[in-house]
Amino acid sequence: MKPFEYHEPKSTAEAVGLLSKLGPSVKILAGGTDLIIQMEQRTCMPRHVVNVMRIPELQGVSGRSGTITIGAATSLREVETSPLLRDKAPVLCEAVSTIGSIQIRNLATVGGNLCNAAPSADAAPPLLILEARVRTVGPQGERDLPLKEFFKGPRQTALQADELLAAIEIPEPPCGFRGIYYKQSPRYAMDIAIVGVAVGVLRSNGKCDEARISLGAVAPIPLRVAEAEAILNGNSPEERLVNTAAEISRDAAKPISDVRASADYRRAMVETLVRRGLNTLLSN
Amino acid sequence: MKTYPIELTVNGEKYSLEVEGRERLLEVVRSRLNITGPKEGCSTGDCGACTMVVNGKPVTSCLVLAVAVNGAEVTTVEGIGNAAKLDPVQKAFVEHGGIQCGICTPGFVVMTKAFLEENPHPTEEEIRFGLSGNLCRCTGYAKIVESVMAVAASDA
Repeated sequence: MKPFEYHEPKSTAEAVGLLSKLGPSVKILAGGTDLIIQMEQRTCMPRHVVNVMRIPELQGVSGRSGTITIGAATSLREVETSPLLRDKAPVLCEAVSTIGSIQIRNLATVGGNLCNAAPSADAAPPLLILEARVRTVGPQGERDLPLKEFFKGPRQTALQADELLAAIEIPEPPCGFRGIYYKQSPRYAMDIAIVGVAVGVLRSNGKCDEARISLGAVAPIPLRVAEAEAILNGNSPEERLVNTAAEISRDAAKPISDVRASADYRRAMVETLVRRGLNTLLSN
Repeated sequence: MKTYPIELTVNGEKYSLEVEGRERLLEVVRSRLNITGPKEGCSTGDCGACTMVVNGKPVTSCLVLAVAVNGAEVTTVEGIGNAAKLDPVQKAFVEHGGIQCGICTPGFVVMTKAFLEENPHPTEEEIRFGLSGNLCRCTGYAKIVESVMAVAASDA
């Protein structure tokens, strides 16, 4: 690893000040499970490293007046085991539990998973169907934007160089909302998704009031598939509609072929997993 | 190069050192404190041979900067038991053949210990999930899982 200067701010204000002052050769260190590897392999050689793990405002899961707030530097393991999230948004806990190992999830943070903006980030699809918003902090103050506007491309987010992701905010899902996450991966553990599918459904009186479908690892950014959702919204869940929604989702995917899977396989898996998710959630 | 003063408590013993920002916890513990139980396998967090418990949580110490855990309580396999007094986890690994070449064993023992503290009576499936971040290239895992099941059963 190349030498660097280490900084340990105690507040987001101090962190933002450091980011502005230190300029382009600065990297934010959170859990380190990506950054330390990149620095060790010298694919990333910052002159300054700003560790945000000692900033109390960025830690923890809390709920207040219908909103669940997850500090950006909260570990994935804490998200996975949080009683509040297990109760209100278990689909997120389920998805996060597929990332790395317990050792990795004790280090890695939910903010890091989003800020890396890997198309395969497992936290993204469940947070998208939960309609999460993100709060950022910069020299001009705070910004609040929907998560789906946060992703700009592979490894690119809406964050400015001197901005920090502060929190993820989830509106408490309505009673009766259920979600499911499927991760298709070459290995059962310790590998990234080749397809990630999150499906959420809100039902009443036998009808599908609202469907939410999100895809990971099959496009430059994690997607919501509004056209597929619209087919189901307000309708009785018939097989024909479920199949159509799955086909639209498949066509919305723009995957690449790589060492893990071909684009064709990924597309086929999107259709299968969306159909499976909808059938599971709408069948009982 | 600039150094930073840090304090670490490793296996109950307190150390004060000056470290560079780039020094990882694994290399500080191994090379500077001569505590060599934790092994460097993959250097990317995949193999778990470097697992240590830091402030109560098992982590892959190859991905941790020492300066970032200033003040931490750290446990390595040396803090769990020794040849004269084996921990029940170590005893079970020996008795059930959960060891062969031994490189992965310190990581497995530390992880098993931390895992059983959180979940003292796991199912086989939970054990495989809990230990999925530790790789062994010799045993094929069956005997490791048996070892962990034996500890959990003896404790019941």
